[in-house]
Amino acid sequence: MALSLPHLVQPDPGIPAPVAVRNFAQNIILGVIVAAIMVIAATVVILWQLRQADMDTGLADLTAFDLVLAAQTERNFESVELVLTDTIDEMIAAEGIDPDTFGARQSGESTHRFLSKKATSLPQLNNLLLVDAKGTVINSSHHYPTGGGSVADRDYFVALRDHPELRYFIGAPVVSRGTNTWTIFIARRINAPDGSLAGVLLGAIALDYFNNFYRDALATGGRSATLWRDDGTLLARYPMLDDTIGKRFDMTTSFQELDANGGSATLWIDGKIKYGRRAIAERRLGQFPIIATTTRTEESILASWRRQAIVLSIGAVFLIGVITLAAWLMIRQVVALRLVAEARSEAEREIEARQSLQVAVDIAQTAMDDLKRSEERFRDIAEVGSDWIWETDEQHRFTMVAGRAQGLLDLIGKTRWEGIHGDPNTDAQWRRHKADLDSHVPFQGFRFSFKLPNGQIEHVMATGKPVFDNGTFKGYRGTVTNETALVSARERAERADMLLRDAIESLSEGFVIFDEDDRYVMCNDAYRSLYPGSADQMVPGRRYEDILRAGVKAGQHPDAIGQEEQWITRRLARHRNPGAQTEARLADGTCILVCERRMANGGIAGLRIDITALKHVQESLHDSQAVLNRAQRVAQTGSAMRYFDGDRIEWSDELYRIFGVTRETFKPRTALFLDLIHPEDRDAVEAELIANDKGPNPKAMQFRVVHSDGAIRWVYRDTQIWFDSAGVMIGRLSTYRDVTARHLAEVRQMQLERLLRDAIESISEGFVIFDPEDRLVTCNQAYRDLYPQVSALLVPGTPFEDILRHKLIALGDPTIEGNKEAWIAAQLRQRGELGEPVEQKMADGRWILAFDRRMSDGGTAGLRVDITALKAVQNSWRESQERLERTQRISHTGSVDRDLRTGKVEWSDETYRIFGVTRGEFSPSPDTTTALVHPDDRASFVEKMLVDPEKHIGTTLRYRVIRPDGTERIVRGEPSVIYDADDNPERIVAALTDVTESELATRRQADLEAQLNHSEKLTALGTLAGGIAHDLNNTLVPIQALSKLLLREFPDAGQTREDLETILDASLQARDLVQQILAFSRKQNIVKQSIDLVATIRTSLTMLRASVPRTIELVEKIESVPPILADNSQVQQVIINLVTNAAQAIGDKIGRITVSLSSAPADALGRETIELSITDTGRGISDEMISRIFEPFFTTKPVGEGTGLGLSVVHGIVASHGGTIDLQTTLGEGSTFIVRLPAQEADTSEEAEPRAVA
Amino acid sequence: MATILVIEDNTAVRNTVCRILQSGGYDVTIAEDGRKGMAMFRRQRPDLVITDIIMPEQEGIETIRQILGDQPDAKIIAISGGGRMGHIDFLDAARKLGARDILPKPFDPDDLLSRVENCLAAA
Repeated sequence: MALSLPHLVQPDPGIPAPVAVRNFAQNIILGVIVAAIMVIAATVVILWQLRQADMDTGLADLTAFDLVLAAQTERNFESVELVLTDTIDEMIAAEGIDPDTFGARQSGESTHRFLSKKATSLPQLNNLLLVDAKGTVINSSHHYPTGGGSVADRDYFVALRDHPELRYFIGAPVVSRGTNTWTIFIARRINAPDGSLAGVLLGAIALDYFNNFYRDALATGGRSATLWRDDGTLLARYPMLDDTIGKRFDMTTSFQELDANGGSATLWIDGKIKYGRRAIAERRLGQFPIIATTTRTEESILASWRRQAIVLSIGAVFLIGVITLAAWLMIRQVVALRLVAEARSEAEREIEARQSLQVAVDIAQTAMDDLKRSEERFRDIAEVGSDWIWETDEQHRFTMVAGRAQGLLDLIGKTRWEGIHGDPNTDAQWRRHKADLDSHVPFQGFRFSFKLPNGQIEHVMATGKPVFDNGTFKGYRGTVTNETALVSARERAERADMLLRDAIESLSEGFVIFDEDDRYVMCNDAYRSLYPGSADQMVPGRRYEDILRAGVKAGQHPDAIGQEEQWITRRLARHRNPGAQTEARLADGTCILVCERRMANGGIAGLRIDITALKHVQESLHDSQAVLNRAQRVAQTGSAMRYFDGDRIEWSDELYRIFGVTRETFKPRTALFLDLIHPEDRDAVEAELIANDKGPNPKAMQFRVVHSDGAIRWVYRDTQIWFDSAGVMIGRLSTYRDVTARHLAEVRQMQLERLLRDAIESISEGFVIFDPEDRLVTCNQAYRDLYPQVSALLVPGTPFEDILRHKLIALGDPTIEGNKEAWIAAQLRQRGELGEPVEQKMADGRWILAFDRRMSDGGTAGLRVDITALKAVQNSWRESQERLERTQRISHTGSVDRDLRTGKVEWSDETYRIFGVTRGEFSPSPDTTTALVHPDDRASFVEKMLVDPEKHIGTTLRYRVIRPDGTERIVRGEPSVIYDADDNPERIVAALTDVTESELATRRQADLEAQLNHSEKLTALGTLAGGIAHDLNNTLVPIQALSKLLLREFPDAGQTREDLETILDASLQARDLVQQILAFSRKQNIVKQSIDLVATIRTSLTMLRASVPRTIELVEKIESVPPILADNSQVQQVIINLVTNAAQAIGDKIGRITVSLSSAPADALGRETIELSITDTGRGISDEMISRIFEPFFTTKPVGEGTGLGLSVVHGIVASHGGTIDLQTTLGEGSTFIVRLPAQEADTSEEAEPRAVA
Repeated sequence: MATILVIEDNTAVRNTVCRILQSGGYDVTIAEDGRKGMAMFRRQRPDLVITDIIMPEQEGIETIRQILGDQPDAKIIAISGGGRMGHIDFLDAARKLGARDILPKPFDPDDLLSRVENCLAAA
């Protein structure tokens, strides 16, 4: 999961979160659809290409097969036609043709015997019939005498009679009267000397012969072979169909194609005979009006393609299924996380609501406190008592005023109402007061207000009692208390009370106040509506318990039902010790949160919050939490939430599992948490926790956790700070992912990748891979060493063309300088073709053999093999030959002439030069000459040259001469004697040749030849190819095997897996490449079994006859031989390669190839040997070439026309069968390749079987 | 677990064969050529020997001959990259000499493991 939880918990405020989730889901679904379309498209393209390839191969096969079929059939017709011609010729030679007597003369028994003899020479020839000019059958090879039937109405007779220019005619098939089988007649016209029709000779060919032949030739189903006359008459067919032979079909369209293409064609048709689309290959049989066709149904051609298609389609469907499943899981995960996030924000809103409620409660509390303080002050004032003392007279006029108010008003002599401008006549208060005063009763608590001169209003309370003097009313005396402060306090208290009421009424939550005696004071409407059952009890002064009991009785506390008394007791206890919040349920299902607080005055304020919605949220939150836990468990991801407020830490279930502890026994605290960390990682984790966890930019980290059982888990921790809406950090959300498996896999992957890299690097040959866009993927050091000029570019991703251009600049080849672009284009084109290995000369003079191979993914794998040493051997041999020739050219011969009678010795100039002396300074004589001869050679020199030369005439003497300057020369001398007239020896004449250089050269050549022989031997045994193959196979072992093993480490699709598959593909390609350059065309599975060479050769020659030109005669001289243990197809390849080579040696000329097979004498090991020889009358092979013909890649053909592997392949196969191959050749006359193979030993047939593992 | 002696001169091939065998849970010992391989065989008597054919010092055919001469029922699998004389001949020769199984290089790791398993399971 690439998504992180915090992002979802705090969605971007600009985008509504559900939209984000929906967009995410839409993107995923869109991605799945696109991926599915791509998979389907890729599958369709691959299937189409595979289908095209299979169809092309099928057509090519069919054409080749038809060629063989046509050739074979043509030969059959040809031979019958030949017999007919031959028969007629012999008849003419024997007796001549007289049209008048022809019928009579040829109807005799001798003619019958003659015909019988002719007819038996060919198996396919059933009957020879002789017909006279009237169409009467006069003789037959089959029986005698003939019935004398008439064929005058038959198509062939009519055609030949009416068209003298026809030599022969092939009749429509008929059912033979004699044998009741389908027969076709080749009719041959017999001309009289004047050119008129003398008769007709008929050759009857049983069509069964062709049917049987086709049946043998058609191995696989879905094919058919048919023989047609070119007018569309069907002659023979396999598989045979009823009622088709002899029928005419409309073949115009397909035969037109045939004529348009020079006698052969391949096309698709809807079957003429059997329905269904099929490929048809047609070929005209040379001179005959006959066409051989073979067909193959599209169904059989495409059979293997269909199987591939089914497998590929299933694979594609499966892939789409996997992608869809993955996407579905991803969407589900995101939706679950979204739910959690929504629940959390809902909960936050509830908490905010609760906080605002709290503020309201606090305001109410403050108002209550104010009220209380006012009351206290009032009581204080009351206690202090009056402010003024006063006395009035009988007329209620003030006589005395004393106290704080004195001086404020001028009251003396005025009544009270006069003093403050009251009027008893108009004002009821004052009227009552005056009435009281007039009746002389005491008064108390008379309250009135007045305005001071300064505008201030004073509230006062007056108390007075009458004063009697001996029963006579004297006036009043009393006090006045200023109540101004009290009144204003009362007003303020009323205002506060109103405010409180307004405040609590405005609350949507229920609010109630009980006094310190737990009696009801007040509540708001919300409270009342919550408790409709006890609302009538809510009157001030009613005890809480009474209200509660009324509520229980009314059934508005469902929790209490059945246990009323206990519940009430508990509820009261909680009420009297308020503080904790409790949840309660009401009768209508509403859930409320009960918050009660003791107030400063000892009373209790209660709050009822409707949390029904919150409860639902909580429940869904709980569900979401469970979903989250499950999701985390699946993802092996745990989360921890740490609230900075109170430093509370909450762990998810999965996190406990990851840390190997349980919720019951482990409390998530930082200190304890650190104990779980691996000691080596602990400091780093602690540092991170201290340094950054509360900071704004926490870092992700990976560390190890040690479980109590000692198991070590790798954990990846990612942290995000959680802000509230005001941007204040309120917590930190950490996710912990168990990445142990991933970590171990990564470590393992690194190790294996290193191993793989080492493996590629360990190849001593250069190895490089380019991707389908021709960019470098990887190469080894050997490759970089080969191209030091561009080594800086040999990094992954460099396009091949860039490397090429830099190489061009680095090399600075002047021949390319002018037309760089053309050179590069040529190189790139050549690269596009790939295929053949190319020899390249490097800037430093080294030679490499470059193999580039297209991989299945379109990329290129390349190998560079250093062949400098091989090149050097080849070159030095060439040089030494030239030197030898030069030496021979400049060698001179000197002569010595000794007169036996005078003893005088004459030397030629060359002789002086040879002996290193100069004429005049040296006088040659036997003694002086002997002195110059090497001491070791003197004895034989004296004996053969001086004492008795006569005995050694015709022999040569090799001796060494030591020149006066000390150098040694090797001399070859040949004495001859010259006789005088009396036949007495007169003179000895010796020819001396300085062979020093020659001998040195010879010795040098012998050394080189030995070297070359060695090289030749190695080459002939395929060592170059084989050695490379061996080493490459070795180096391919780790690449192929380890990449295969690595693939198991990455079962899921991904870049690494793709890369590994590329490497594996490349190694498989390289393996195939090795098989190619091995030049042994052995098949992957060589099956050596007991085979009869006679049959193998016959089959091979049948195939070859189609491809060898008609100008070359193929002669068989085949004896039966013992079986050999061999691979049949390999032996066939030997024969085909050798015969093809022989045909190419003959070329366009007329010639003959003789294939002989015979038993040969036992070889050195006592094994019976079989000798197969192929002799041609071609141009022969020169001596220089003999040594090289078995070398791989050696060819005399123009570049591109031959691989140069043919004879190398032959050699490899023969060697692998324990045989030998020899060559006898004469330039201009031809060559014979002799292959000797050991016969199968009597008891080896069992040993050759794989040994059963018992 | 069965012990297997791997005789192979090419380091990369040797390491790879070891790795494949170890992934199959076998105990593997190694030798760099036939001579050392023979010494190792005498010392350890492994359950199975896997030997290359073309090696310096002493090549595989001779090694197979010596091992079987020493212990006729020894189990041997011959592997070869082919080449100098056509590997089929060499591997055929190895089989004729008594190697239980033969395997041309390069090979599939599963192929090697299944051959080893078959070989070890046989009497």
